[in-house]
Amino acid sequence: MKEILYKKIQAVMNSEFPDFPCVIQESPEDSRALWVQVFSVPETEVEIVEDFIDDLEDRLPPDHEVFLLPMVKSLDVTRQYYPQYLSSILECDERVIQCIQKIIEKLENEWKYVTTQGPPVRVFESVTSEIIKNMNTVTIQSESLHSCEPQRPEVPEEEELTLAA
Amino acid sequence: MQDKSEENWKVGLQCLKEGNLNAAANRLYYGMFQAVLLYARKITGYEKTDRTVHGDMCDIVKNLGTASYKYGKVYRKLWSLRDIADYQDDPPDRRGIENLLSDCEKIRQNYLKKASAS
Repeated sequence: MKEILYKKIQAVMNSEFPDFPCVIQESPEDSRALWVQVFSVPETEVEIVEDFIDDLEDRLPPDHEVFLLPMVKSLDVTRQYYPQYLSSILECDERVIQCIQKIIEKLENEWKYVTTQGPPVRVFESVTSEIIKNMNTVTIQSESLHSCEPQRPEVPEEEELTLAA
Repeated sequence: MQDKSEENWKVGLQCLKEGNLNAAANRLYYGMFQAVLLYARKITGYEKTDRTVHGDMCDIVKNLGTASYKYGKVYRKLWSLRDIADYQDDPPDRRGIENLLSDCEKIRQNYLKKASAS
């Protein structure tokens, strides 16, 4: 009977929050108390998940006399204490961030080079190869780079045309 | 039991002030729990001391009085933070404890008052 209840709660949590790993466990002190542990939750969503667990207890069938104890672990807490529960999507985000940092670094170096020595096309070649090298399976929105792009130094129009040719 | 409740609550607040979150959650919970237990023993003749005692106290808070629904949830949240403090790797969240303080103190005072009125 308990196993079925655990599975039901697990299924509801997985369906409502598919990105956050959830573990249901009986409290060592009270067999009617169930720990509903949810991991990798962004700080801004911790309260939402807690409220959902609170409401879930009210929705359980009346023949189940259990207490759901919400234990929602933020992303920081998960990273520090429960790294095994870091969700794959967030790991992917981490890779995206690292990749963007590398690209920005590269762009900065290349801009310096372009403005002093080479044609602007080098920048795009460089960025493209960096993306291909680092992001085999991850898609990145071009908009996400715009705000991070270094400001291109002022280059006189005539000079730029000459370089591009 | 009233003295124990007062002592634990006071120590819990001090631990919270000093940033000892595990000890704070544990002591504050027992400060509240003992007030409800005192009421349960005096008024309802409750005698159990087994593994279901925490759930039984939560049931009392959840089912008694006009604001019982709200306070049942408050009780359960502090219970949850106490279980985190006692059994899990991470410490309980400071803001989580602080947000519950006022309502938990209301629960504690309410049950101490009910118990002493008998």
